[in-house]
Amino acid sequence: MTEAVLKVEGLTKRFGALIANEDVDLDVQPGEVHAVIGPNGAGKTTFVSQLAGELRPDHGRILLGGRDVTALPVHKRARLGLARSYQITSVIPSFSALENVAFAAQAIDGNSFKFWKPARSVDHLNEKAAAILAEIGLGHRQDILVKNMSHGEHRQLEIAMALATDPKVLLLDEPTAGMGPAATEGMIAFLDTLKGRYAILMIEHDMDVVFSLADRISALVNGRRVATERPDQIRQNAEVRRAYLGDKADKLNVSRSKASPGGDTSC
Amino acid sequence: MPKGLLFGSRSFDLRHLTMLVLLAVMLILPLFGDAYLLRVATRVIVLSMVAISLDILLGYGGLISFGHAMFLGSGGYVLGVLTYLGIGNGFVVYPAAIALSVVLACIVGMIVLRTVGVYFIMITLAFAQMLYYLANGIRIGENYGGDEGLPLPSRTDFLGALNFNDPAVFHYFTLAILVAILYVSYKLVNSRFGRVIKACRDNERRAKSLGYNTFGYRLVAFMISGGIAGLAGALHMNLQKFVSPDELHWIISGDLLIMVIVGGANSLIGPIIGTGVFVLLEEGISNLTEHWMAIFGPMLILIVLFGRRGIYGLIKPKGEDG
Repeated sequence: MTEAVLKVEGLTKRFGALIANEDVDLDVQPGEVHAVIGPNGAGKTTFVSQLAGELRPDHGRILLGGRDVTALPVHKRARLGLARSYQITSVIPSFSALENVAFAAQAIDGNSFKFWKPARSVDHLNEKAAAILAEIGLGHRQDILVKNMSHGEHRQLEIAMALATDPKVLLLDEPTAGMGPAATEGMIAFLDTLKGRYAILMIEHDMDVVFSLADRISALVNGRRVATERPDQIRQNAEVRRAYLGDKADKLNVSRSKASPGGDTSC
Repeated sequence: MPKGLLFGSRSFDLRHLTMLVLLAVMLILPLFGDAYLLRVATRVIVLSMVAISLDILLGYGGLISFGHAMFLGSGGYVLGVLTYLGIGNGFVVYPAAIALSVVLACIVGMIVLRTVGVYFIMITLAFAQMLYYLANGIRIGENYGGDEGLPLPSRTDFLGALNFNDPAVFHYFTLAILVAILYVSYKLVNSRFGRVIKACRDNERRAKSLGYNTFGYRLVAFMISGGIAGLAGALHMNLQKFVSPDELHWIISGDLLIMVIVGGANSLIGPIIGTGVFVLLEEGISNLTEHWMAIFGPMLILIVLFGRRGIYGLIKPKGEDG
């Protein structure tokens, strides 16, 4: 095994008596898509928030490229190559699509204490942003104000912004949340092109997405990681089936090419 | 006039006309020789600077400072106190007034910028009130300072180049400074720095997760704003030839907020229009009745209700940002 890009050791977070995460170990290898699944309330969001730095863990360590980042604030982790997308779309509503991505690209282009030149005429940021938007399929929408864009386009923009920071690790929090079936297919196809280029940690409810993309899958149940397996093995994992699957057991048996038209995204 | 500001890529419209008319009025006014009118006009110019500096925080940065009068005071008191100490050279006292206001903004900003929303409003208010009482304690000799305020003992001298005792000279000087501030602010809000500030207003969490140290950028914005307001404070002292703790009172901070919001936040012309309307109504109605606020208040409500984005919003082409 090569060195993990992202490594989590013994992560524990409690809110009073509620244990949100308990002793979670996990790693993401270079170029790997590692999906984290779990029922509502399993502690997935708390987990991502700690990785991103918005929450401070009670115990445990987070290593980014071998460096301990547990005590670093959000923006410093981002500068070290940790990019994220949000479950609930988080963009800059008064900016155009292009400016959103250019703003993301600007984050790694030295500091922004540049007071004179108009931001809109910084060519290398615009060019980079335009290239990423074209790649993700929003090239024709780059001048639209994002408050006038559709939900699906917002989801794409989220990812485009994360990519513009040249990340080492992508944290994708439900990248297809609230998307229709067609848009979800498109997103899966796009994320598939990222495979191998970035280390990706993905939180996802939609089992079609998980089984289409993941190299490994970890299941969180009541804040604890109960299994980490390859997709074909996790269906067989007794603990996962017992603790988590319940109502979702059917979905795990769905073939990769997808057969359940009624597959709700349950989010 | 800065070219990009007036005739950018867009065609000439009502906004530009308004600006040109305002500029023309300000340029012609001294020729009429009406001392009162000229004084009011100069006051509009000086307070406009403070309103613009506040709007950089409020309109562009989403930071509602309810204590901006503190910088009006800091600039004024630096000028007053230094002049008492025998330093009347404008090339010294003006930079000093700006520098101290920037330092004040840095110290205050380090604390207030740790809060957001309504807490930010309250804590900026608290700081300004603290300084208000501090200003009450500034005494020079037996007779000066304290709650009575500080008259300007001698005129500020720019090595003989500018005679501030001539109201017309002072008027043109402040007008030139206002145009310069307008141009610099225009560059600022459209720069990469300005983009970060606007993004923090819209979605600070996202800015952080992209790698921006939002606190640092906001602090610098706060310092720039404080510096501009401090410069205006010094000019205000020269205009009134007097500074008192009242300059720092929260009512002044409230007036400044009204000027920005009535004129139109998130624009640079809006605060100037707002200041003009505020000062003219204040002067005009207060001549009719001492209960001028009873008339002014409902007018403000109407303006804010019908011009959601202030008066500037009414003359701005639809669908355009900023």
